[in-house]
Amino acid sequence: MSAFSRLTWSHICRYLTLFLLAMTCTAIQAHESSTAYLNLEPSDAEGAADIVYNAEYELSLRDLALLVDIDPNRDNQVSWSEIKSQTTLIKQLIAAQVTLEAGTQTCQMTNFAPLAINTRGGFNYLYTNFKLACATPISGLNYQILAGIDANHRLILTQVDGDLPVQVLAVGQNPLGADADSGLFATATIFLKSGIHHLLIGWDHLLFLFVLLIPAVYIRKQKQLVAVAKPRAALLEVFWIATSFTLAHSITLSLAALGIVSIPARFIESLIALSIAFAALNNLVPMLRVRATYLAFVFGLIHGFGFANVLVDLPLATSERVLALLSFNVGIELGQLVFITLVFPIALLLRHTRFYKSVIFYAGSLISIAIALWWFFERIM
Amino acid sequence: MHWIKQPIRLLSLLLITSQLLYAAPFLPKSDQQILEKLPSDSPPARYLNSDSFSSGASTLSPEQTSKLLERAYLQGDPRALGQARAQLDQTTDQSVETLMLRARALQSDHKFSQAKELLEQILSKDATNPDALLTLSSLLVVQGQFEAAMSHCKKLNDGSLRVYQLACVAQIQSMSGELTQAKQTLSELASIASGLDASTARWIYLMQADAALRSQDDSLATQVFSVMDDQTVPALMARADWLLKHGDYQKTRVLLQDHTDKDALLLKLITAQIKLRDPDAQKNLALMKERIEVWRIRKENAHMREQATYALLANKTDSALQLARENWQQQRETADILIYATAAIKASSQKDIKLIRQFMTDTQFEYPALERDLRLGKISGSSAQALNSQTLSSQALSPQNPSKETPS
Repeated sequence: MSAFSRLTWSHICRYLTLFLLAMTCTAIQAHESSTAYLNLEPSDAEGAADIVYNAEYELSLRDLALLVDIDPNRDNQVSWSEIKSQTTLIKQLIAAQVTLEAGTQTCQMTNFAPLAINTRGGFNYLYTNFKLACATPISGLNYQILAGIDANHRLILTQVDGDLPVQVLAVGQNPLGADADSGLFATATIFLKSGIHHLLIGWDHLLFLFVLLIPAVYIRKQKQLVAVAKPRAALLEVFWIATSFTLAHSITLSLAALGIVSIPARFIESLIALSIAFAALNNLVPMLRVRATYLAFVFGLIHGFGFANVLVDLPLATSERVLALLSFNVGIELGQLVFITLVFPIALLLRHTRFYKSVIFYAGSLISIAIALWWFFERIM
Repeated sequence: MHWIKQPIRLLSLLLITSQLLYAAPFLPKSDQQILEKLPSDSPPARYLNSDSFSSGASTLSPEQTSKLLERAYLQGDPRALGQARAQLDQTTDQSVETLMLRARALQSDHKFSQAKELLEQILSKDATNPDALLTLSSLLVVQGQFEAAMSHCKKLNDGSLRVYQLACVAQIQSMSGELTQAKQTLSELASIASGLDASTARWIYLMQADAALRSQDDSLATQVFSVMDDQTVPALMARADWLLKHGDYQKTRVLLQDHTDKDALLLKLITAQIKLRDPDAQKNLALMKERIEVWRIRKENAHMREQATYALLANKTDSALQLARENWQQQRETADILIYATAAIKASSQKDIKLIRQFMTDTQFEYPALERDLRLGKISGSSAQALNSQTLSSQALSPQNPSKETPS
């Protein structure tokens, strides 16, 4: 044994927990987290005085084993007969720890169907089906399964009636319905912010807006650029540019984000670069004798596909996707408004100056062409 | 007739997905049917009868909590992490030992800022606490903050902690331009690893496996994999990475086919299955999709690496890049660099490629094959093979490509 070995050999295992701590630690390589499922559906029980719900509750067998002894022979394997042998205790457990409340009263569990198994994500779950008789509509859930045993346990609650979204509940007292709004609100907020962020960090979209905005303070008279006398005309022009750009990109953003139309991102990104170069060139050498509004609309269609790349592959359910799309679009408009509010007043103030014409308008357009072409070649390479 | 293959494939994927998502409850065929295998160290069931439903929660045992955290890591079992957290939630104990357990739980839950704060709190009480120093150093390495990580390693200057200090330094060296030196140190440590406790030995082997993968060192890999276990998740991941890198898809499939319950391993298995044109690849992709849907509903953000990998395998390149980018903000281990680079190359995102190359230049992170791929802007077999599986659709149209076998 070398001196190096001898030095190290005698000094190991000094601390109880040291052995694991130095491991790189990001690797919870994930089985599934502990998750249970409860589905509630109003039942058509004729003549009943109470409101009756059909309930389906599912709990992973791994979780069930922490609560009820479903491996009495200790072979670490759970058979169907071992589970069935605990039917009574399982039923009592669910009745005691999955308590649905209707106002001040507790719903009564009835008609507990024979146990079954369901498979979710490749894992086996105990499937239970029972009725709940409630005096009034359900208003709360006191959920105590795995309380004090697994802090990461969550219940995914779905309710067929009332268009309520999926709720994720922790152990404890949960008012039903209250969290749902905040869930949708959170989605809307996230994508609103994402829309603003995406526009303001998307240099290509900003550059495109810039090349469309800078000629808005001019009118062409006999091939000469003349600054508009009254700001109102320029303001109207900017309003129509922004509106047509918004309308156009909203159309393609919706088509792409909802998966109706799909165009490769690389192709779109290259086209966006070309659209900027073209719009900037059109400032210098008017090629299309159309108003910038039309240009904004046509090229806005292309930019919409670019915006959609953020949303198109996100794993969102349809309802959430639509909400995300709307919020994201509003976010883009807000971002656009911020940009216009910053840039346009400066253009208005400086429109009569030589500096604006030579530096902002001509040089700005030239630099924009160079940048856009650079992006184009970078993106197609 | 090639045109017909794609719709048929999509249809079958849809069928499998719908079966998985909307699987109906069933009654097992026989009473003897085995429905679940429990971990060998499963705790006894909490309730023996209905009278015990109101019994209080179990008390904290640091040894038990530590074991749960270990199982969470070694078996990739978030349930064990949840159980450890539940135990910690029940105590107000502020001893260093309990605070350390809390820090480890936070770290495992990807709550890095809170973990860092707690570790700094421990170090303010006990500046030379080796557990805190090592954990903080590892956490900083994960986030790519190598200089700060090194400063904590250097504080492990007690002679009795020599092994840990050397390993701690080697871990940083291997990520910051001194891979050769790190390999040398790790070889020396590995030579005495049989006398170390299993976890420390595994830590050393895992670092060696990572170094072998990046430097394409066959002899080091052979040596490491001959002594490293093939049961724990981190060890299986390292083995699978090596096999996939060498195109050993058949061996990867054999290695991982019984580990479909662990997401990270399932993703590696799918990679191999796609290469082998195994029809189970589609079934497993659908399974993975179902699990990711649950993460999404639960709003869990600790799985971005796995989600990005899934998105790549499912040919959702833009989504993969976005997830890999977000993951990159959290953690910067070899696997994170690899997934980010692969997504960036596949999406032809020059901005991201430039960012990764800049990171590799700044930190001197050595991975020549990956650096070459980033420079050329295309994925070769030598670096990102583990993630460079062709998508199902493109594989379906390509000729059969038998796996190339190499000795493992």
